[in-house]
Amino acid sequence: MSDNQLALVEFAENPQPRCPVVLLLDVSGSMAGEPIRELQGALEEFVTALKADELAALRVELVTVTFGGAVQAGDFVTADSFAVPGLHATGDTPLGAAVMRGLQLLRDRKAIYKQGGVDYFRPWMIIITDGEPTDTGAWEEAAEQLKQEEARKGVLVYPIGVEKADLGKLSRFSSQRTPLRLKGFEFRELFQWLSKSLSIVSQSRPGEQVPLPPVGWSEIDTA
Amino acid sequence: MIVYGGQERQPITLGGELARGGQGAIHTVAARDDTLAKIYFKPDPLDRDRLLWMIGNPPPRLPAATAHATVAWPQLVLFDAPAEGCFVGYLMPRVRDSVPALNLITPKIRARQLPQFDSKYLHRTARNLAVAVGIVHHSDYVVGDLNESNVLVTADALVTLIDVDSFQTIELRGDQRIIYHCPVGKPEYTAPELQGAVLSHVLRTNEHDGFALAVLVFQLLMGGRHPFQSIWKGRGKAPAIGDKIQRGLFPYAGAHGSLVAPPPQTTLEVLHPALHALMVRCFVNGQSDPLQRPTPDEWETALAEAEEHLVRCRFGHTYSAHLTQCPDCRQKLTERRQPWPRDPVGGRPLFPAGGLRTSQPSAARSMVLTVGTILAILFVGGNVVAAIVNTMMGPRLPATAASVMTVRPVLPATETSVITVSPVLPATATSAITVSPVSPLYTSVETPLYAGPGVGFTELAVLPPLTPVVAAGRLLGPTWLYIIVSSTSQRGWVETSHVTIPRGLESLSIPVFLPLTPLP
Repeated sequence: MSDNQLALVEFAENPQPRCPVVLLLDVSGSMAGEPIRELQGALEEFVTALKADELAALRVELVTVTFGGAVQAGDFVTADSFAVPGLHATGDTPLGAAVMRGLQLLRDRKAIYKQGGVDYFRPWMIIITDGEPTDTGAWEEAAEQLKQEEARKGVLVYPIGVEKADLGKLSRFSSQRTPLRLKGFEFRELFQWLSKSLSIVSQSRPGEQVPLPPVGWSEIDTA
Repeated sequence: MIVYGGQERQPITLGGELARGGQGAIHTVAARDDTLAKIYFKPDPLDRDRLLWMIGNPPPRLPAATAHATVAWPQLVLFDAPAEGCFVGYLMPRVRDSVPALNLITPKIRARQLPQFDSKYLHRTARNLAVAVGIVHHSDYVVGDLNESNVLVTADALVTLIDVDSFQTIELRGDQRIIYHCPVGKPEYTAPELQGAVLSHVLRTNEHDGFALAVLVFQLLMGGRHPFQSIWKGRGKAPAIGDKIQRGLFPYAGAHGSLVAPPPQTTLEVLHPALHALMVRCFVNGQSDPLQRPTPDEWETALAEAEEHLVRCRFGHTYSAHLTQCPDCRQKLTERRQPWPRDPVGGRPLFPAGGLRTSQPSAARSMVLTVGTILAILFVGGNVVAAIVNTMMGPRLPATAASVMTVRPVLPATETSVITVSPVLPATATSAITVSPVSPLYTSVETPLYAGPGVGFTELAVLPPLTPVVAAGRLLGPTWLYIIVSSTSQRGWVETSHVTIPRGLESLSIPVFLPLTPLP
């Protein structure tokens, strides 16, 4: 059974409008140890928090795209049945390839929403990285495509740098939001903010403007 | 917290906060478990005046205080001091053990929270909602902000309208008419002529409520779909739901078929003809002429008639008798009015006597099965799980050794397995197959596999194919048949499984998704 058909059965059970969220997660070698453990724990809490909100659990659809050596992606699943994958840090940082995969996942998903007659909110793409992209040539092109999609109002991009991340390069992935640097490894605060934000968005209607809670997990970056 | 209310300004002790909205918080009231208090964050004297008028002038048809509160009408205005003092909120009746209509509307939540709510319960809910709105309309009040969160429903389908302090209210003060507007509304429940209007200045009418009522009735009876949810066939991005309402882009009837189509597997034909007609009147004729929209009384009559004509198929689905087959499982109407056994304990077994053979789980990867029944053993995450494919009605699988189901578990990590069945279903088979996943601890065939609404598997539904090619009750063409098996999530039973049966193939692959969690 293709993903489309499974999705259409899912829409019959849950015709709520959807808010697709792509989590682009850096699992390169430098994330090994404390960072990846913190990220894993924060993700679990994030999903638990979303599940506790009945409406958000049915409206928010999650997918993870991890990049560390290779790019690995799951399928979009509503938060109520999302299982956090185990993260393992290894390899370099093919952020460009990951962004391209994320964009493709979003294109495919939107097509399925349209086919199923399900309304959707503007998708979110959260980019979390602690380094700089290593797929030279590819990442510049990916960043350009992402910015174009952002300009077409096709996606909301949230670039987030961890520790020594190159915020200069990260800033090229969004022309609407400057990258924020995470305080230490405060992934939990970041994802608490994200689940609150998504709960608020879920209470709104597609196309409506919604204020989000203040960001408390970043530090002011003077660099 | 102590507040004061009534002629003598008696002290009233408030309990904990139950809920918190944009305007205020809802508190319990000590020693009065039938009452709640709303305390405003920013009390407005206009709200006080509106509430005082409402309390003095309830709708003539409002049921007595002892009956179920059909409308959570305000009872008492509250102040923060025994004398003088500022207005802070009001008391209202409390409806216990109820859920917002939102939870009923979405099938996935409904299956979890109120699994007994079949079509009959949903019709009754819709009818009771029409009664409640009718009570308001037989007065000078207008609900205004009628939506899926402002309607509470109890387990026996009784309805209560809440957030009554936002009702549009007209106070008669001498020769003056003082209008307290309803300043809020959700676009998806807002009538086309009000879309984009500044609601705090608009005079609401019963016809505006009539639109929201029709949307709610539609959502209750049409699997949670909004009447203006559609497949967009026009250029560019689909308009927002409010724009679709404003433009009258109703996908089921009317003149906009080139722009919008109903979502897959959704048709108004499943509604009783009386309801179907009212929907068209509201969303097509009512587009330019709001007076065409059905009144709550008309909905009540049509819903009562539709409920009268509900019948039950052998699987326990309830549907309208004007249909020639059950829309959920496409079963032919051989036993129209046979009620589904509701008591699983000592109740009738699901399968016809002799239809199901006992089979112990074993390591065998395939086995030869008897007529009409296939018992397969899946290995899911180390658990032995039986999946039973039973051709309960309609054409049966041939009674030959060829009726073999081979189980090839794949992706055990994601608890997904693929069953391969050979030979192919007879071309005449419509909905001949039912799949019941069985929990590891319920492999005994004596255990009712489908215990009816409310207990065990709550729904065994076969959806029509993506592009329905159904003629004379037969499924034609190379297409897919969906079987949704859902259950209450109690005690770790399988929550939802999707099974697809491709037609016209040499062999049949049935992916079974079993999110199994062992029973405690």
